[in-house]
Amino acid sequence: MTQKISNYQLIVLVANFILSSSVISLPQIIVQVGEQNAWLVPIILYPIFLLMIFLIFGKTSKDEYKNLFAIGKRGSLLEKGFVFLFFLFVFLVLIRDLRAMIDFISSVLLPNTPLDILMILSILVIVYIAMSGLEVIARINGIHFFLLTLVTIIIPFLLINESELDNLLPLPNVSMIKALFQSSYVGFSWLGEFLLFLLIIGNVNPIKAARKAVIQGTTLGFFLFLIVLFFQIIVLGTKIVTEATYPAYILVQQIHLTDFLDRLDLFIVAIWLPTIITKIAFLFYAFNHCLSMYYKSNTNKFMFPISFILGYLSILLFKNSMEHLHFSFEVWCSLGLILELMILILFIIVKKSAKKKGLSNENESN
Amino acid sequence: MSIGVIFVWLALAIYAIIIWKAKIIDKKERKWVILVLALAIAVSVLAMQNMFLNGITSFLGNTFGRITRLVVKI
Repeated sequence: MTQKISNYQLIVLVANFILSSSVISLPQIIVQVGEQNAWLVPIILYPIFLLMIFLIFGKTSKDEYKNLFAIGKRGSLLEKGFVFLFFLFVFLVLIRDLRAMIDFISSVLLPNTPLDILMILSILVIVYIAMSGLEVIARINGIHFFLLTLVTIIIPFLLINESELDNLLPLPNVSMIKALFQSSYVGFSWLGEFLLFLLIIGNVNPIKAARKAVIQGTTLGFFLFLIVLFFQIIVLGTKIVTEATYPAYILVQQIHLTDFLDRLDLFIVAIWLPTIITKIAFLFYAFNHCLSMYYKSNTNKFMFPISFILGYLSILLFKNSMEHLHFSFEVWCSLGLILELMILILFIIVKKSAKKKGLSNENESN
Repeated sequence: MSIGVIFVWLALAIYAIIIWKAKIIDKKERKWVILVLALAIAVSVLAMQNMFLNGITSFLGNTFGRITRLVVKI
């Protein structure tokens, strides 16, 4: 039976794909390149993403999406190529995000715990959620992302006393355009992870409102990222943001409500961690779904050992956290961008060929 | 041998016993189970011996990372 998710769940899933992993360390590299005007990056990228959404949807029927990731059907070479690219994309994002989360826990929360123990404990939680299916992932995400949204919207009020608007000076001018486009290049591949929704577009009920839901999710994700980025610049300043590994964590550490309420960072991390866990659980689900196409049966019987393979790979592929950061900042900017553009182009081509096939089948039956 | 590897091997052994005893896999799926179990044990041994696969990420750094460095000075 096909699992169904509502439009609200799609909105928060798309917003989660954009925000939860980007918020860890992406602001560091964006601010390093774009300096005090880096907060304009989400505003520059937003129209491009809207265009991508309109290109993806166009005039479509539900069956086109349903058949795209259908398990057990014989697809054309193009469709197989598209699924393989999507599989590669999911694999790389999964490895990167899992290691990012483990590194964050290791350096901020549990510095004396070995990496492999953190990986095993994380995997056990994540695989339990992922094996429960898409509906459970969407429901868990619906609860936790709602809380994260609330906290992110409250952040400006909590940090108003720490803000220094002088950190935004000098204001954007023509000479900054090049730096802004460069930092947009860096941010594109991270924020472009919203394309993960392509896997579940056939599961949305009702499909007609799916485009609206994806647009709303993208808007929400971009808006929350803009808030975090803007307040990192005006509260911490560009120097601290570029030199800190986790600027978002330092930002929430600046919240001092009263003398006895100054450790809100742990509370906020406790809200943020479940959202990235849900994203990784979705990535496990997507990985298993793509793999199911190769062994032609929709099952999660193999997910348990596969999750350990992926967990160990996230440790083995990066010798230390610096290598992981190099991968995230240097490799992923270009590799992610290329993969996302190829997925987008192939999706449009596959969709058109599916439409043609459908029309020719209709003519034959008439 | 680290406690992590022991735990993973134990977990995989329990998984294999449950899968076999409950007979929830058919003949076609059996080869996949053996393959993923073997791979999981292989990567845990690599992790135990501290044999990193960072050659792959270095290769990606020299190819795609170079493209990024052409566009942006990081």
